[in-house]
Amino acid sequence: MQHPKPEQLTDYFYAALAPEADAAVHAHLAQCASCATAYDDEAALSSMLRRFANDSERELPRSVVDGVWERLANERPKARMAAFLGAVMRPFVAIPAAIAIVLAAVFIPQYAAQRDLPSIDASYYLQDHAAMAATVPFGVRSSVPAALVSNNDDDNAPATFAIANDEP
Amino acid sequence: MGPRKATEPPTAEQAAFLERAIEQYGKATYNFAYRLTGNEADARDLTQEAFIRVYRAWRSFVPGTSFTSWIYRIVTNLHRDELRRRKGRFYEEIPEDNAPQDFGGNKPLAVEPIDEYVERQLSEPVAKALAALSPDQRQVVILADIEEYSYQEIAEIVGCSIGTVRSRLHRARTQLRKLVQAYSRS
Repeated sequence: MQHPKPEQLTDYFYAALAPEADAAVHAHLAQCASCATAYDDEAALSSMLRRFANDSERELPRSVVDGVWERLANERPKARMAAFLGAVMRPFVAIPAAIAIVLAAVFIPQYAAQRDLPSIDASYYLQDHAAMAATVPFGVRSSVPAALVSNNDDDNAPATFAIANDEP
Repeated sequence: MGPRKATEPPTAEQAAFLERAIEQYGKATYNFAYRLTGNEADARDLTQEAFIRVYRAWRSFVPGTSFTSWIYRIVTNLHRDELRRRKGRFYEEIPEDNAPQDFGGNKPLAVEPIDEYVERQLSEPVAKALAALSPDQRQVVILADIEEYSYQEIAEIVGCSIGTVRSRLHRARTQLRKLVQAYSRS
């Protein structure tokens, strides 16, 4: 076998070669000093990294654990609100709610407008009818019937009417 | 059963899951984050965020699979997102005066035991060399050499192909060897 490429040596070190290639490199290293040295170099680099990892290993700070629980505790009210909004926005709730809102938007202003109309007292209608009777073109009399003439000069006083007997 | 939504109210089971996860894997996750970031503040943030993700997505975890691989994947993704967010500022090497604080503790030199001092002197070039690698290269080196994952597992954690892991790892090791020699001389 030719000298393995550096990539192959790395793969061999990590046991990532196919079985045949692995066996070939293994056999080559046993008889090639320069490749064996290169392999030892690979191994030394890895053991140096592992030693560094062991030396620099540290405990999990308590503040990290506390911070996790604290953040989750703060997020819960928001999550509850989001859950509520999520439930409200589901179609079987949202569609009837939207229809109700539209109907309310149409009918409530109408109802409010009706309530705001001025009330009219009965005398208004009576006065109005008297005026209409006076202008009926085919009436027997063109003038206001005497029977409907108010006997009260005070315009603001409630209207009272006397039925006159104008029959001959 | 589908994944639980984040908005669903927490259960006692969910809280117990998180508690156990922190207890069993908190230290390893923090150390992994520390080696990825090279400093304690970022490692703390990364670890905290990772466990929050674990809490939210706890039903996504498939029993019988490696929890460590899962949380390392979360950490790796969070780290990548953070690097993108910072737009490459994180790629800078750690400052010269930062190493003793980060890797040697904050004890005054006069009272530091000699074995700790020697240890720090030996590990400092490695720490600097690791910090000088690109984040992608650092990830694969940490996962392959320190965490001892296979190419296949690394590919799953990092989210790339085995071929990419192989080439990235080879380049990283070549670079690392040069950097360690350079920092040891200086």
